[in-house]
Amino acid sequence: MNNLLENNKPILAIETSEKNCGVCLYYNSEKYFEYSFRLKNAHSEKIFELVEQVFHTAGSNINDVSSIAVSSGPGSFTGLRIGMSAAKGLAFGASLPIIPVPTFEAMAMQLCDLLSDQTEFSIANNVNSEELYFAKFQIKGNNFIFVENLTIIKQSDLMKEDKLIFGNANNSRSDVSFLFAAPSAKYVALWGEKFGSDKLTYDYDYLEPDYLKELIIKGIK
Amino acid sequence: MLFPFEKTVSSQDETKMLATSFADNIDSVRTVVLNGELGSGKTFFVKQACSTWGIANVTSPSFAIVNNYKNSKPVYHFDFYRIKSRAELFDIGYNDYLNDNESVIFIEWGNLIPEVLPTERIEIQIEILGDTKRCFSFKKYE
Repeated sequence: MNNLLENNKPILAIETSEKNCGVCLYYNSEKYFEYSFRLKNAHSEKIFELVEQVFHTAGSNINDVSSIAVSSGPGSFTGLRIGMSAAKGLAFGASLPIIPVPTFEAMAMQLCDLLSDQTEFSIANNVNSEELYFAKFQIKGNNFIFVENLTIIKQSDLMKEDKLIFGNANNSRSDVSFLFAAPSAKYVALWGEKFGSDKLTYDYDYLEPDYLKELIIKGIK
Repeated sequence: MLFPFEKTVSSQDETKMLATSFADNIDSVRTVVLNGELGSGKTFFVKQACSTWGIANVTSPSFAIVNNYKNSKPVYHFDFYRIKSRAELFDIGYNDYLNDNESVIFIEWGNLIPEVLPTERIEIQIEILGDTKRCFSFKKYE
């Protein structure tokens, strides 16, 4: 694997898949700069302020960056498009590659730092009032594996889950569910650092967020 | 307001009163589907309902597909008349509108793509009985 952080060049990470909007300039686990806010319908207005702020605080600029990691979904239709557009604009202007980061995997990576080894957990985020994006993971050492691959399920199917559930699913499982619906931008960068060398691309004209669109259009009713 | 129920009105003023009463009584309802022939008064009903919430700029979304209004509460006003498929709705971010839990959503011609309608909704069927005479049938789905 190529070292994406060679020459000590940081990754700029963008997370907009949910109501949180976050930007992180990531050098290593001991040195990173991260800003975020939670405000509805404000991502497009404020995301570049966050980018400027991390560069200002770090005393750096876009030309020092090695690559741009962007949360690629699934998640909010509008939010993901804002993040992807911002990443493309920044990348094109500075001739940088983009790493599309699977949002649920970045979340799983973040949860690996919080939960104990062998823990099984699910992530369930709303597609709409009837359907959920859903995946199940298990922590193995310092990493995670998929127990069930990312798919779309009915809200009612979540009732069958008895393990920990993270996400914004509007369900009645208060016994096992926790509102944690998107990774922090730091973990988008971390995923990019760890797995991004194979995903890294300069050919991003047709790079799109991953909504599992075919499943949504097909419908599960 | 108890569902289902029907109400026949004979004038625009009576339709206004019905829409106002409806808007005052749908606190827990987020999606309202309006079905009826061209000229039956779907947009007129939405306009009167929205005026109850201080929204005065309601227009037909037939060409825009969706209009956004906001005053005391955000309102999304869809028209499916020109929509051909579920994919077209997805490509304008339909799910993001559905996920805005603070809003009210009106959908004209919702019967054209019934598979995308939320399970919890009120459907209003408007029947033309005369120049200004209409029969409104209200049905609640839960």
